[in-house]
Amino acid sequence: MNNTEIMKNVLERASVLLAWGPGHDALHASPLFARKAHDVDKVVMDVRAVQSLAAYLPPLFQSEKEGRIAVLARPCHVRSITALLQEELIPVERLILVVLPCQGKLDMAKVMAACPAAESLDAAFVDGDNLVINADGRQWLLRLETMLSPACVRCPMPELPDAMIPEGCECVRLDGQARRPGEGGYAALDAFMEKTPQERWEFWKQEMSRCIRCYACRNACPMCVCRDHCVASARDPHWLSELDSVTDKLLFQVIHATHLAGRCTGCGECTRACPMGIPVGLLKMQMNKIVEELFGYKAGMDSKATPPLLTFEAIEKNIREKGK
Amino acid sequence: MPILERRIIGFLCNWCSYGGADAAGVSRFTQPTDLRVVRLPCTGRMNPIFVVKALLAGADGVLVSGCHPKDCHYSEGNYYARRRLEVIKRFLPVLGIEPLRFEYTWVSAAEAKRWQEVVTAFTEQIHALPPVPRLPDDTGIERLLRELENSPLPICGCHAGHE
Repeated sequence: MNNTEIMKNVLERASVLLAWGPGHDALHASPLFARKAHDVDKVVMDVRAVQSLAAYLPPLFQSEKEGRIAVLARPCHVRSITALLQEELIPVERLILVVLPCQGKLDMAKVMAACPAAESLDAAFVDGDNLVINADGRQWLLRLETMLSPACVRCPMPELPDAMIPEGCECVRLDGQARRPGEGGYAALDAFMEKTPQERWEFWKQEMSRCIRCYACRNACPMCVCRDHCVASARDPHWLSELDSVTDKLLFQVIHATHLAGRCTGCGECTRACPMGIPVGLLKMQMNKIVEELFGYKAGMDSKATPPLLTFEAIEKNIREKGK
Repeated sequence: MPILERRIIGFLCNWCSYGGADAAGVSRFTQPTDLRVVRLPCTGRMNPIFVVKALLAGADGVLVSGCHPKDCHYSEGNYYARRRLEVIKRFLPVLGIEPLRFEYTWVSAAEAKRWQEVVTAFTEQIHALPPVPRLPDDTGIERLLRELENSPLPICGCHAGHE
């Protein structure tokens, strides 16, 4: 069976298959909710499919009309889904994971910088190691390796290990070749932390003054599940004013990062979604690093594990508090 | 010349440190006066955002004090607090905020002497640091108007040449 047949087969058991389909131009893919077999023919799942579909799952599962829900996921997206399962935000028995071996995702900002003419392109496709863009009567050949999102370059897990399939979850694997694994780690954060504290403070001051408070970072985040009850729009308690001040915008980012402590899987959706190109993911990366150092824990690796901030130990191995 | 007072916010547990601080006052122990106390029902009530909100709002330091581990009035509030507070303390450097601006510690209701030591040491620690850096609290539109005022260029073509 080829991949299209596998997906059609899955769709016979599910009311919907969350996938990616054609977007507004040949370079972009949009989420596609495939309900009929012929929808599956439109699925796009190469480097152009950049968005994580995990954020759609919690609200979709609340719908009574849906039967089982199948979702196309890269290994990093599976981590987000596992994290949702850990917190019982989605039901494992109604979920079908369709996992693709990952070749990485494009960083659209990089593509646009390398080829500004791509704003109005005629064609875009992947040819071997290159992304080919036809625009303005010219052809651009961009090396795929240099156009991938930074998260993909360091991704240690382009092929999902069997151990990471959530317990009790139906999982279907698609055929294909995954890219070679990266070394993982927190290189971008470590480079940022080499700046002096004053430089870091100035950095956030500058970056946050560009923030337009659109909350795309929140809306793209698979772990932001409060929806209409988000603290950012609550009047009581009134944590954030409606002003466009740098303080409010930075505080929102800190709130987002703290709400993700021990929950963030580092999928990079917040940074990708930011229309102003602010690297908000750095804050979450710092949070992930702290949680890993303190509790030896990474979110979304084990659907039965308890997130570390929802529990405690009477004697903490890695915390040396004052006054003991 | 005396050093100017700094703004320090103390979040104290009702069942221990608040009593300890009270006992220190009743016993007339000399203490620095920079600390402003917020009483909590338990350090488990402590939202880590309190710390960041206070620092961004202009507090020079934040001190949290609760019951010693194993002595929580609600059995386990301070265990949860310990994890959260340690995480937020290690998080501050990424923002460029000096982590010494925030401490959390344990002081029981009977430890008036220890409270005096804690609050004195923490106040000295804050005085050794410069005042907390402030973000501009103007909004986007105010910023834009100011930039336009200072701009050497005419605002738009229709006003060019007019004074």
